[in-house]
Amino acid sequence: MLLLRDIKKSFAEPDGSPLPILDIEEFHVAPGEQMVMVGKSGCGKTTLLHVIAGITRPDCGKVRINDWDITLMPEAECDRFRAEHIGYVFQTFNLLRGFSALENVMLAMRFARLPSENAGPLAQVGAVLLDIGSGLPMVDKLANWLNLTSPHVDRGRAVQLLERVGLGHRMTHKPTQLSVGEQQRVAVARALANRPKLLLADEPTANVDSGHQQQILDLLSETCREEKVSLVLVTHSPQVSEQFDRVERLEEFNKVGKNRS
Amino acid sequence: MSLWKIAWRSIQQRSLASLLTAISMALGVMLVVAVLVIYSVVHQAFHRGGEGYDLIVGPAKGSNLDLVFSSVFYVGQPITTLPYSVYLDLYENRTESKSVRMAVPVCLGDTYQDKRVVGTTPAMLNDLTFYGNQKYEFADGKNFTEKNFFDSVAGAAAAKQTGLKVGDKFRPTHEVGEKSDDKHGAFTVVGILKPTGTPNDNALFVNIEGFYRVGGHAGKVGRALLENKPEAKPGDKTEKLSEPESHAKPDAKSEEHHDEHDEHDEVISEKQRQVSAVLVCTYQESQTRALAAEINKRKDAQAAIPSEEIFRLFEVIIGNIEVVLLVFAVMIVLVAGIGIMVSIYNSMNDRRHEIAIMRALGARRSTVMMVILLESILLSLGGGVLGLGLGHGLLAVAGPWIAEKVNLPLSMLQFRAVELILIPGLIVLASIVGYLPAVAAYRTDVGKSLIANP
Repeated sequence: MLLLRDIKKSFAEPDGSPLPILDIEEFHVAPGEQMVMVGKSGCGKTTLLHVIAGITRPDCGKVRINDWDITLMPEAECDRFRAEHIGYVFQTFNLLRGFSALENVMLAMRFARLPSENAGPLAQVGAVLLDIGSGLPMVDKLANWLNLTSPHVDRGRAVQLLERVGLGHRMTHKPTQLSVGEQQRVAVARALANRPKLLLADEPTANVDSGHQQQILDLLSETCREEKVSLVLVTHSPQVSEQFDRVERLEEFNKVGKNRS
Repeated sequence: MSLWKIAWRSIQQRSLASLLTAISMALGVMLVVAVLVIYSVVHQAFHRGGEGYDLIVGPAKGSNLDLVFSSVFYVGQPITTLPYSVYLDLYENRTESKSVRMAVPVCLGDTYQDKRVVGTTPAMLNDLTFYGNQKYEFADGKNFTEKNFFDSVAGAAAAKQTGLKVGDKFRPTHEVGEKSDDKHGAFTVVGILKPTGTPNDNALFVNIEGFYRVGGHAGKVGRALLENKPEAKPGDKTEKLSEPESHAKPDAKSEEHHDEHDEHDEVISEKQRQVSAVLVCTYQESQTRALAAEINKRKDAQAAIPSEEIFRLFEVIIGNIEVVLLVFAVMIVLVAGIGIMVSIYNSMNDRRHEIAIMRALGARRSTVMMVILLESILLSLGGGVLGLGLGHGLLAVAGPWIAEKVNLPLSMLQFRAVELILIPGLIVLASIVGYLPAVAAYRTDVGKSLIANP
């Protein structure tokens, strides 16, 4: 399912010198497998998830998800791939403040259904026009007629997911009107919206109480099992890690971490 | 969820800044609308006056523009006068081209409460038309007749501002601002015109025969003619009475109410008569230029085609003013557009994180760029529509006051076709000013922005 090989990533120090973060020879996750990644703060856990999601490009190496090497994809294609196949629960929720809980979930669906950018310039223009006009009945009909993917979203699934995380009564609330825990649950629902093949969760329970912590873990675990989704969960909580069969310490297979320690 | 909605939500999030930005755009558009509509009103005000006749024939002294100013707009005093024979030649169609359909004399020089008194024949209001071939209509009373020398008709604005009503009498004075005295005979108002939107609204029309018989006009005319017009030698067409036949002597009965005028039965010879100008209609438009050329050969007269002179005047002076005003107004719109760019660009620091989230959720670079562009377009369009409303609203409120000042019975809610360009123009402007922040959005580094702005 997921295979990382010879991944290196470094950032620039203020003086311009490189600061290595990741140096991973090989890392893999099987289809439907659920695993937990633990490690010290600053050891590169979030960077690793960004590299897997294609948000950050590695300096070298391959990131294969099923049969696709996302490091070879053009950026637009990588965006589309991420939207379609990867769910991401951010550590800081990263909800869009101007949108309600329901809209935050639906936005993820909407971006996943954007027309492909693989086609020629004419199709690109068509895609942009479709993008602007989506939501208008005429444009959606035209998109169907042209056999293009309309960015029309499945509102029912968004509602269902929010109900499943216990936010059926808070769907129209904006993030600022939700508690920290509720925001985290919206982020989980959003990550699952597009039925991803790979779910990346960065400290998904860091900001919720123990009751909701278990609810979220159960939701992630059950959904991944039901939909055969691979899960990579980053946490520093032993209570969380002990619930999973596979627990990896990043410092163990990240040469940068090894050298530091 | 459409990109429009996403852009709208972004505007809502920064509602105060967005509102202020849109208002600045609205003010710019409001000014453009005001300039366009007022220009249109002024344009009509100018051109209305010059319609209804084809040619103005005036004295040879001065320029065509002087003639138009004094005879069409009643601005300034006529430089000198025109021999009556010129009018007779035109009236009786004794020109070479035989192209005169109608000739109406105009005698100027007197005023009443700063309103121009125009000595003329009843044909001025009976037979001439104004803007759009409209006939003069009366709000009250009727036109004066040839027989009643001391009857008069007041233009709509003149009647309103002087307070003259049908049946009132007034005594003209020689100079603007001079107080009325008893030196002049009194004219009786027999009719009030409906508003025409022409300079005639501000005039008082009196029978030319009465005009000659008050204030020593005929005497002055005679002396001026003898002193200044060598071609009008004593003895030429001498003692010709109030010709043409339309200027028949009044019968005694109809003059009863003018018994205070001693000059009633005075016979005024052609030598004693002169006019300020003659308004001429030809049979065909093509004859106008030929007739003008023919008249301009004379030493004692010149002809001006009013529509051309007004067009020239308008293009040279007023047209440039409109261009200057429009340039200023468009610059205000451009500044407002730059304001939109600055507003959105300044918000980019705060929004990089949100853009990064959208990108992380799968939004393409072109999608976030389009959201920023749509936001710019929405702000511009919102401001533009608000500006259109404000512009016409402002004119609707100020309209009656402006209409009174320029004597135009025009609705300020009128639209000009060029306003239709405003909307696509604003979209283009918004796309241009939105481009820079859109590119900034396009270039947002997702990874860095997600980490830098948790």
